Amino acid sequence: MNTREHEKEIRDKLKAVKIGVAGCGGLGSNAAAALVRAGVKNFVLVDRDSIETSNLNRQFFFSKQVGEIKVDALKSNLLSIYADLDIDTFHADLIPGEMHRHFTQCDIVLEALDDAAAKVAFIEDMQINCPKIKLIAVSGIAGTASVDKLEKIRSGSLTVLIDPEAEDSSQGILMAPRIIAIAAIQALEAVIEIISKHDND
Amino acid sequence: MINSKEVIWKKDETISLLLKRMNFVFPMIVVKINGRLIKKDKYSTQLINDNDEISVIHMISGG
Repeated sequence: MNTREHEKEIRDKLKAVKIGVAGCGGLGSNAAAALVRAGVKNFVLVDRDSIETSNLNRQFFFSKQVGEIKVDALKSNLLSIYADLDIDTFHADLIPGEMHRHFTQCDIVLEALDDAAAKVAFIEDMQINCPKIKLIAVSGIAGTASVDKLEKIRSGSLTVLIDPEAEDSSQGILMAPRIIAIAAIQALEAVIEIISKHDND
Repeated sequence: MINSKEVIWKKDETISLLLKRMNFVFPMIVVKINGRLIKKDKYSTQLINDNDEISVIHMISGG
């Protein structure tokens, strides 16, 4: 296969998948933007919040959008990159035991929630109820450390990007270059999963 | 194996006891055995078998 054919094959795979984003803050908004630029077309966005001025130092939103519902604003921003996207949005709380319901049609889900307890509850819910859906979670984004310390733990359909030395977001500083870098790594994990998954089909 | 590190297996040890022995004190964790997620309410009853692959993943706030 020549390079052009190989590239087309990768683009076709990216177009075919549906990616869920649980939480549209620093990780979710930036990871979604990276995936749109990579060529992913189908998304499910879930978030309960509206945009605050304090979000603008790291999240993929603009000052004129302060006060808007995050999932609506993110959908609009992603459609500004490419207009031919299919995006379902849910402005909703993720309720324990029901969290997976929005994501049952997804091939891959990005865990991008803020609170550690919510992260644990979401991972449990997805892995119990949708064990075949690839779940990419993140633990430890605060602080100013290099991303060199980021480790990948893989177990079954779960991958967790974790910085064991990172601070809690309630204590550590939230620094855009680090958070955007980790969001990009999370998005890249999804791309690698998409490309590798059907290679042997 | 816990998080890819060799740990001596003990007979009749539950996840709760193993976490205690390994000094995992963080409250926010995800536990997987052989790729299968174990819910929190099973920690005190789920026994560990010899050669189980165990992941204990500490979740830190921020997203």
